[in-house]
Amino acid sequence: MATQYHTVGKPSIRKDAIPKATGQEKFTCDVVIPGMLYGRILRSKYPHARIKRIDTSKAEAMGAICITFEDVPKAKYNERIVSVPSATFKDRTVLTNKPLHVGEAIAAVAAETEEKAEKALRLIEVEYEPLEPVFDPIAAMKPGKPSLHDSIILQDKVVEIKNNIAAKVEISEGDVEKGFREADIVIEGTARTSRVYHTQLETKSAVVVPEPNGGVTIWTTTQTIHNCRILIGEIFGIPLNKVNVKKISLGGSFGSSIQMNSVLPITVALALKAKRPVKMCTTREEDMYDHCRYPMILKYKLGAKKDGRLVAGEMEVIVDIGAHNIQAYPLLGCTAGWLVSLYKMPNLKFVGKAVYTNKAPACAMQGFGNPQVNFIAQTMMNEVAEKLGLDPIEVELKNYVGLGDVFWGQGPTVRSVIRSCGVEELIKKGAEMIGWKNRGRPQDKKGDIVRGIGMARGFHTSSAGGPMAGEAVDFSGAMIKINEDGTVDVIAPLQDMGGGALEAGLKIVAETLGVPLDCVELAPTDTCNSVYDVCLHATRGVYAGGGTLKKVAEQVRQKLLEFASRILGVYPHALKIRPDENLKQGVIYAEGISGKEITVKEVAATARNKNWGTIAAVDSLRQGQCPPAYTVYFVEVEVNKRTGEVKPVRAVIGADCGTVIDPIYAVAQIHGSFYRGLSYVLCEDTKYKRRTGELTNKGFLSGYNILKAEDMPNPDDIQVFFANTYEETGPFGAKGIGEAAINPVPAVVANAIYNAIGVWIREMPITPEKVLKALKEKGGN
Amino acid sequence: MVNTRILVNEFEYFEPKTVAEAVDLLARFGKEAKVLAGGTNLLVDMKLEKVSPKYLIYIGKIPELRSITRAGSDVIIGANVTFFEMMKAAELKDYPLLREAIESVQLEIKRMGTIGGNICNAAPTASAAPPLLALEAKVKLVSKRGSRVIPLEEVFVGDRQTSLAPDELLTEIHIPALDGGCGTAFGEIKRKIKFAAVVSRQGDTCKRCRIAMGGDVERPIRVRNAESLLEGNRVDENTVRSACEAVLAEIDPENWYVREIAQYLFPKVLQEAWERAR
Repeated sequence: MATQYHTVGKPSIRKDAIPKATGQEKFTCDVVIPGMLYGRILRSKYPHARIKRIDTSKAEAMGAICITFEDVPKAKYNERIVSVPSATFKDRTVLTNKPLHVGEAIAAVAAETEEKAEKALRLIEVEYEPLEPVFDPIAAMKPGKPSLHDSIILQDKVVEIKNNIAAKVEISEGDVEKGFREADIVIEGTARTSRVYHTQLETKSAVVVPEPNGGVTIWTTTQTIHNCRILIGEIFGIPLNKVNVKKISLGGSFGSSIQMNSVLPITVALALKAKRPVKMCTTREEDMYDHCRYPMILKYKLGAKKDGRLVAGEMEVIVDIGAHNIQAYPLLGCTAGWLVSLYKMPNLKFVGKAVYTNKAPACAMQGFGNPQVNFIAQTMMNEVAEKLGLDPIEVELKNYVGLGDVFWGQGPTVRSVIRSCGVEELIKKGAEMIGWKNRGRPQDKKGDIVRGIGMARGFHTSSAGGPMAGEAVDFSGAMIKINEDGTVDVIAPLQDMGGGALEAGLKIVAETLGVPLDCVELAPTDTCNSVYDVCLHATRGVYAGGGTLKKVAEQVRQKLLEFASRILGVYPHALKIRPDENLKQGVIYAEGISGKEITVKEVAATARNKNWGTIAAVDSLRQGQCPPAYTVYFVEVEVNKRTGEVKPVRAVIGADCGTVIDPIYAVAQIHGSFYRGLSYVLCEDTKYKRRTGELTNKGFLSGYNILKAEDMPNPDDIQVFFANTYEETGPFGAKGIGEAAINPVPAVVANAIYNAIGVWIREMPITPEKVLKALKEKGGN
Repeated sequence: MVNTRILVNEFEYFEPKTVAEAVDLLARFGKEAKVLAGGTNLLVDMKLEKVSPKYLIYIGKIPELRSITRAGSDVIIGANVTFFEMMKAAELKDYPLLREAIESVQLEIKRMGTIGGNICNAAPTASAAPPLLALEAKVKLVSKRGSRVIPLEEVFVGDRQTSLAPDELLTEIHIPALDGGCGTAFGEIKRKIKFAAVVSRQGDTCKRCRIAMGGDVERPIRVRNAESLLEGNRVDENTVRSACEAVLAEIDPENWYVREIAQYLFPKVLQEAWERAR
């Protein structure tokens, strides 16, 4: 499919590759403003406390600017405004006088150097009244347990919180009781997924300059400059045209910057008080107390017929959201949606509860509930197949949601019909490539070290688009203009988490305009000079962001052809454009008519000299669909039955992302996500001390166990291939890939472990200790 | 909450050019001073504010601590030789177990970390400790009061605790030549358990053996009880099992997982050394 294009589908060196590899790329922490102060934040020692007295006089005596709860706006807000107001639960303030987790911000200082700020911080005297904390989500729901939030704000109304339940979602389809009665086999299981830290490279940072007009100029770590602007405007009562958030490279995120980061409003408050620029770069320790993946307890009951067809499913999910409700309600809806969209299940019941605990607040992380649901659903489907004596592949092919079915892209309110699906192709080809038929049975494998092959499939939505407005806002905007020399400026507030969404966007622009990729550059962008874009999340970069760029580029192309038509005397719709790599220009021509040719540069220069105006367009796009991107994983692991160690050794990974915009970065996204998923399922977790509510690793990255390069399979042993699909609603047939790439990884590893040693382990992380224990228990039976 | 981006506490910094200058400083400042070598442990501890030395004595500018030489049948490694330099050193080719133990150290630590620092930090998981213990290495300690050479085994007295006096500087590690025909082996399960073994045999009888252990244990040690159960005896399933019991006796009974894997790894390492011996 891709061969008809000159830029799309061809490998290229992304424009930020060299600056990033050579250390020249600028991130928020590189921003230096003359006269700026350095900020530091005082964080709670206790997991739950009331601040009785806070004395900043000693810090102020050494010249530091100090702020406490008394100095910040009191209105509650929610830092994530991707959802519409009716689904946005507000429970926090800029600083608090009732900290709800160790590490919550209670005061902040700004001083001439970071060292001075650190000293000032230690001079602040705080008198705490410690309150009883609660760390376990099940215990937190019991009556008599301490309440974290008595009430929150939902659409300007006060809503009471009972039993620490922050949000609840119930969904029911068909008759689940009847379904289980009709089933030939019913199995039940419980999975626990871990509280993983995002481990993104860049810690949350902000630089804020107070402007003479009463406004602020901001650089900050974010996936959404426009939402940061709206929030800062709202919280501090500044008109939006005086809040300018500048787009700057993001040092990775994995979802942790979907919300305005917690330090930006603190930095704004400091800068406004100091009347000087303030820079705040958090340390790794602070960042580890700032966010994590949503950990879940998933109880699942599954009913199937003898032939493997599913008839009923019942799931109960409890999410430990930590101290704040950043997006628990959309999370629960999505979690239900991921299950609904995984299998055709005529009878289904889903109950999800999100519970407050005195821990770091959980937030979005690559997959947003999908890897968690996939872990239990795909391992239990495998178990059903094994119990029925069927090939798990056959069972998957019988039950998957595919072409023509309804897909829930972002919970129950964002649905669309599937128009492209490569699942069958990916499963069949992948099975062939890994040697699925020869994987053997666990009981036949001999020796201390055995191997097993697992299969799991997954998907993720491409954007939160849909035919109707749902609970998630989803549209992008961009401006594109052709310069007087034929080069192109793209002014897009869309962010790039590192996966290459913006590079894909530039390729889409080059393809649409018919100019060489070298002619197209991202222009410096901020909220004042760009139109609204919701956020980079939900695997929407290529599909929705790229789709918007295509729409705007088509308008630019139209204007370009109209101007060229005036010069050449050929009708605009009869003109074509081709990139000329020698001229480094797009060339507009009338096919078959010699002499009717002109470069884009000549058209743009003529338009200027004759005062026709700039060849430019600005527009927004809401995608009317949310097509799923699919992935199928086959992974081989080696398990040492004497030590419980699990080593992934080989993988075949198939992906359906529609048209592949860039083969190098699509493969890289899959490799990276596979590694990230392996670390998630095999070793990562943030644990808390029972008494003090501190992280057991105290926030030290050195004490947080992640897989390292040496623990990973050799990249040469990972084969990636793509489905031959075309998504008619996406730019040049493309869908997303981002989050789809990680979702089946936990399940595929658990399935491979089963194939090696014959035990199901459903508590993440699957550590050697747990494997060995499970083997011993099995042996004992 | 600590701030690991900066070193919060202030200290005075010295760069002595000779051992004499260094021990002079140690004599002056004693417990208030810390010796800085590769810094892979000390700087982390300082950032975490676990230690806050008033004086920092950097020994990386003392040339004599950076060489590997031979003295008679011994090989002498300067305290400031990095893991990376040890991996490349021709003088250490005859001690494959040392190389094996260092090989798995992560690259950044290999480049920065030094052998002297690894010993003086005295972590139970110290990479070089088990092979050096099994090789019966000695260390030279220098102070203004004089110098002494003691077995490495006597250095490790507890978790991150050494027997060095506050004014002493570890300057050299002495490794004796291996017995002709002996077999050596090293094995580890990362962060959990490490074994090093040096075995000499006469037919089916173990003539001499040295077994050392490190990892998730109190400190790096020689397992002398295991050694004496093997020496002078046939090496077979029974003796290996009783040697393994002696190893387990040195591991915390609560630490079930490490005990389990020790039972897998120890016989493997011992067997490997045994088979390599002639």
